Amino acid sequence: MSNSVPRTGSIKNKIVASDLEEERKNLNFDQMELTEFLYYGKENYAKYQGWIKLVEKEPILANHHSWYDMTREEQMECQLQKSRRMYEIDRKEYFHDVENGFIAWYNAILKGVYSFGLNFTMFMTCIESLADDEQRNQWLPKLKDLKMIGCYAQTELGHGSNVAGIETTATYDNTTDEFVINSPTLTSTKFWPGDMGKISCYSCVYARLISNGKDHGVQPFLVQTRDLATYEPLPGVEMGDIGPKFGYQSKDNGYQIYKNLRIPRYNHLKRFSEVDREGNFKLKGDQRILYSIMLLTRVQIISYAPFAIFQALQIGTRYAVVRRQFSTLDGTKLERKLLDYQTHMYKYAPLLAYAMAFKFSGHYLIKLYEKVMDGVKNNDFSQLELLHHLSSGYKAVYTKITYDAIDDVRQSCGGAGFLQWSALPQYQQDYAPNPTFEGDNTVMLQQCSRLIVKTVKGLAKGKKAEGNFSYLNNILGLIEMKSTAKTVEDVLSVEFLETALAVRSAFKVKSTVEDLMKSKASENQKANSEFAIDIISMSTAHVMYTTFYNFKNGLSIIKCNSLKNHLNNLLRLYSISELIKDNQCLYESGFFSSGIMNLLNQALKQLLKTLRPFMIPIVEAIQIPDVILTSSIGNSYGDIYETQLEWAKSSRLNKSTTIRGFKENILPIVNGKL
Amino acid sequence: MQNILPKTGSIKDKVVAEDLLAERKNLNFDQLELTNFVFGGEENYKNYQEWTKILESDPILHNHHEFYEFTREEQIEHNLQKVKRMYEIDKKKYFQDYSEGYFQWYYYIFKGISPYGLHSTMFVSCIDCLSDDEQRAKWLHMAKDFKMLGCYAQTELGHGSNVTGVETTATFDKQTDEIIINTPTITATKFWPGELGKLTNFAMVYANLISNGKNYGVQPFLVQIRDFENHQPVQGVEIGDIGSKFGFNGKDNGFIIFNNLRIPRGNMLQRFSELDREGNFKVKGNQKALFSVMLMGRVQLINFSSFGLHWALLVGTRYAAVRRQFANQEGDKLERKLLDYQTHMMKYGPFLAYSIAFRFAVTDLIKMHKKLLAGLVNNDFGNLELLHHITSGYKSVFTTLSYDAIDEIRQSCGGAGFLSWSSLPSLQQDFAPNTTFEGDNTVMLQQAARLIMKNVTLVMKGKKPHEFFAHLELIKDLPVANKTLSSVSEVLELEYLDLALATRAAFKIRFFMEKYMTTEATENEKLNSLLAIDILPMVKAHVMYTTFRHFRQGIESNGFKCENLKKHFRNLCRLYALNELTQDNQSLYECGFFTQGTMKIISQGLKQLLQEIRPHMIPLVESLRIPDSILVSSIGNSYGDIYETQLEWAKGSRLNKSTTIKGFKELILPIVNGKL
Repeated sequence: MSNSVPRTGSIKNKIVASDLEEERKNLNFDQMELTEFLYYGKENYAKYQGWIKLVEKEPILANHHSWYDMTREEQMECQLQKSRRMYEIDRKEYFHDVENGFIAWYNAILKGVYSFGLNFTMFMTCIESLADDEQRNQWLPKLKDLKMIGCYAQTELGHGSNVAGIETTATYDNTTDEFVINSPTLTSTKFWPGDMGKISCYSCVYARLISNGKDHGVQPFLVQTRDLATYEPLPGVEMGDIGPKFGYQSKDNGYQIYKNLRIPRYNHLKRFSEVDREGNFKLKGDQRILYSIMLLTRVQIISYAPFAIFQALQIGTRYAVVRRQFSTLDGTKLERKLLDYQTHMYKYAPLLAYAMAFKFSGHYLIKLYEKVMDGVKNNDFSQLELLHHLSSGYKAVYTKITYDAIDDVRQSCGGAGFLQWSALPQYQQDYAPNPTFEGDNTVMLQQCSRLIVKTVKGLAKGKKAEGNFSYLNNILGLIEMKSTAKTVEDVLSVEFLETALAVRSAFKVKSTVEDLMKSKASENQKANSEFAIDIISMSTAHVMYTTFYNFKNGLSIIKCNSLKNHLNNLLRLYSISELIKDNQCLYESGFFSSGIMNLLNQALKQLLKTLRPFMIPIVEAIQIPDVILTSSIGNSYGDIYETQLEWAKSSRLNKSTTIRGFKENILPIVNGKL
Repeated sequence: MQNILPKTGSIKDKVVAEDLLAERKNLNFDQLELTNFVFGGEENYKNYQEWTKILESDPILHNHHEFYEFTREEQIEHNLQKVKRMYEIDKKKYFQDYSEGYFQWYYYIFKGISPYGLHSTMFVSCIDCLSDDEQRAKWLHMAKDFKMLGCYAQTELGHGSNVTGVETTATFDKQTDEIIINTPTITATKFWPGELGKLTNFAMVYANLISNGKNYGVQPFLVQIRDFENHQPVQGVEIGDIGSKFGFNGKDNGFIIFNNLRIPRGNMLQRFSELDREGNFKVKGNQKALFSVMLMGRVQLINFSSFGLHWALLVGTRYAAVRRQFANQEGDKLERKLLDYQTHMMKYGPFLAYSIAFRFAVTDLIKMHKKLLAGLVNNDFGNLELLHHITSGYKSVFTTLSYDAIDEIRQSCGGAGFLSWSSLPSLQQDFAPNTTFEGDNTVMLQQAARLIMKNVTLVMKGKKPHEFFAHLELIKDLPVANKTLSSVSEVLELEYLDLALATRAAFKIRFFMEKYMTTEATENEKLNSLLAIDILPMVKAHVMYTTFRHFRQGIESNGFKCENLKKHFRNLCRLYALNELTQDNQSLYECGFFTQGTMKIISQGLKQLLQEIRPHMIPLVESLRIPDSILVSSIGNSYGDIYETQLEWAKGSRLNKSTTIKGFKELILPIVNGKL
């Protein structure tokens, strides 16, 4: 039986698939408002569009699907060509005024990992925040003009998340007024820094400062590692790339081993400490500012999470409205669209809801970050702790959910998603380091828990909790509450959902804090051995609640009522998904009782049904054009077959009809000559 | 402050890390007994050891970490060299007596994917099961002797899991007594079959048989696609590889487009149907036998779910016993081993329990499958339906759990696990297709649901279900009477855990069935649209229960001799159950089996088990005796060498053949030097 298939799309013939066209007709809200929101405002979105135009007209900058077939070396060379071209086009805009330039540009537009990403983030932030004014004036312009290309050399073979464990030494030699940098052990080898292996000629090295025989702890040093004329490594540095990886292949994560490498005393970054000519060490300024570097990176990681889910969803959702499989529609020979399977909607719609929740949370966090940084300039550190708490918790929870989301979307596209042409494998592979780098997620959640515990202890002393934490003021009331929900409507009310998430978190907080206070074990044993899993679970529930809080409060800025309506449904869906995934505490506290499962189940199904027609209009608000997306199945035409086959035909292995090694090894067997 | 590190391992100097040595001293059971079990029996393990010896002594077959850096072309070429070498060493054993040979050999021992894995399984099984005696006599030895290299060409661009949607046509031409194969639409392009792209000269093509203007549905045809002499594609086919993938990159998954390709009528596989000279079509024999081809593939995937997860654990657990980070131990300057963090054990302990649970399940399953195959010869289809149910459900649940677990283990090794040298990335990426191919996991769960529904209907009518579904009788007793737990020891009883998991499954099944019976909609709408999301958790809970049952019963029924080993099994069985009950317990609260306070006791039970199992993690995990020559891991080797080798391999990597990278001096250096 031949299947009757609606017109599928064709990029070549500029035909949009009829199924996709139909879906777009369901648009009933101001899509541009959502788009601009997703891109942090009108101005940013206009800028994004400007970049797209540039990519469309510059052949060197254009993305091409052959990228997916390239070796690491080829990908890196391709990236360097793009950087060079951007430098030629407008070095001021894209390099000197970095804030809105190069990195954002790369991040939003190009395939793969940008060549100088670490130079323009971690390395630059180090110079900006840790160098004193004189150093900054000297180095910053060079770095922004690519006269000095740097990397952030903290992690060692033996120590990652644990900075205090660093073993590299910087020993002051007061006879020559120099520091001598050494890698005293195998485990002290600098290992992992991005841009270190091949691209950079400077490293911001974290090393133990040893002066007059005394170890003053870990300090940052600017170390030149290559000759600027020849780009050969300097004597005293052994360096290279660390090898192939799960993803992030276009990044030259590297290693460096120092052997009596000498740098001027001046190259110790000295905004917060100083070594004088005699080798006397002193701290200066408020050391808390040191946090701010990590915080910025975390805030950036958090902001990127919703974008990453959206990228995957744009591909998956388009594919799911054009791809049809199995004849399970009544009264027609047409097969069913993937997205018309309830199971498929139950994968995609919650992911959309989480992406949106993260987006609102990210907005809140960026504002908080700006406020905190303004404060820090005036020596006001009051909200630094809150920012540290939120950014560690959100980083851990969001990156984990986002990574899993991309993986789920990839898997839900079956074979088509397994092929690199779909763009999904690379999204997943390049996103994969997020849960482990910049602070392993387990460690992050432990850090996040500190302010929760502190807040609860404060409550006992009559100190009121504020903002995100204010639900804890009523911690005892919350865990005594009984749900009065009797109907599906009750369960869908935002008040009910907020209470349920608050109760869940409150219950875990109370039980964990009590356990921690009761136990006679040392702090160390409690945190790492006895209650480690409870702490993680508590932090996560708290993060999920505060995320709800940010989402709900953030909705007030939305103008279009239909859009607000959709977002409200996504807020509900976010909450219901959470309550279905993890609800044990709610039964334990008595907030939930027999029968609620059925109500949640029905509410979930109702939301999935309500949202279904709007999936394409909402997801497509991300407006990533085909030139950027470079996807065989997620393009704007709903061309899920033609392009896939075209790209397959052009793939590397098809340059000859057989493959290397076949004629030598196997053909003799086939022909009976072996 | 300098860190004091215990002596780490060194492959080069043949020094085992102190930390790992200390862990090994905790061995208190017969490890070989467990080893034999995880390799599927003593005999299998002996085979495996023999293969290892050959591999270690033969330079061509030797594994090398460079493999992780190879391009697709290089990986395939490398593996073809290995195939040739194996053929030279013992073609009978490795290529002709498949059952214990080649395929399994590759599976366990090589890096990457066996170049002729599909040929040796799917293609040969088709010839074996779907040809009539004459065809089999003609083709089977050719296939087994590598004269005929074949792939299994079912999936098309437009249709994967849905076989009835296949569009390729095979039209009978009475004049010439031939069948003409065509690809009538773009979506009919055969797309995905492994080994189609580059390596085979025949394809088992699934196509719609059209004769005398009538479509007789999808049938298998043996089609030659390349020339024997020069391996060039024959006239009438366009053929190639489909491109780079998330994983499985050593495999030439391919596409083929047919344009009036003619084959003799005799190339239609005719054990179960026949086309006569006049073009009359008739079905013969029992069509149920067609299932058996798929079943074998699924049993292998289920088998590999246990093995793959265990492999990842071997790497991860060794690393976690040697890698130390943060938080000094009390009264000690030493940092804490990763595995001494409760959070780490909370990942690894349950993974080990699942891996062993899957092993018990597959041990039973292989026995059932063998029995079925023996019966088929005499047209006895015995447990075919049950086996179909089990394999679909287990394939879906196990492959997803194992894939996620491998991913978690990779992540829990941080950066070291992200590097290909650890072996974890390729393990994950090559394992990844298992969740979507051979039947998408969502579709598989729906198929598994059918027999549950059939049996629960029996129960509802007051009849006895099949014994495999005995737990469904519990639905009559729901909700259960509240039973308050008073101590941790109660939740650690296997009887209690059995009942809890069975009740959870029964509640979900009833929850679904009630909706199913009261919802007024077509069957289609109910199963795909209205109640689809209730089916998946129901089947999963059922699978998790029956898996527990294999585990619990298997501890007693497999004739294990070592009492301490059985003790560990029981603890792992408890851990499996408690982890399940921690993750998904809503149903148990809903039906009153769990009450306020249960959570605390379960949590204590879980923590107690983690603590008990902790010292035995290395001895248990290392029962999967994969030698370093096969593991090829920078962090999971038997020496606990987690640093030295990692750095050595990094230094030797491809990008370090020159000090800078291609393009840098031309493109960027002029900028650095202010010449631009």
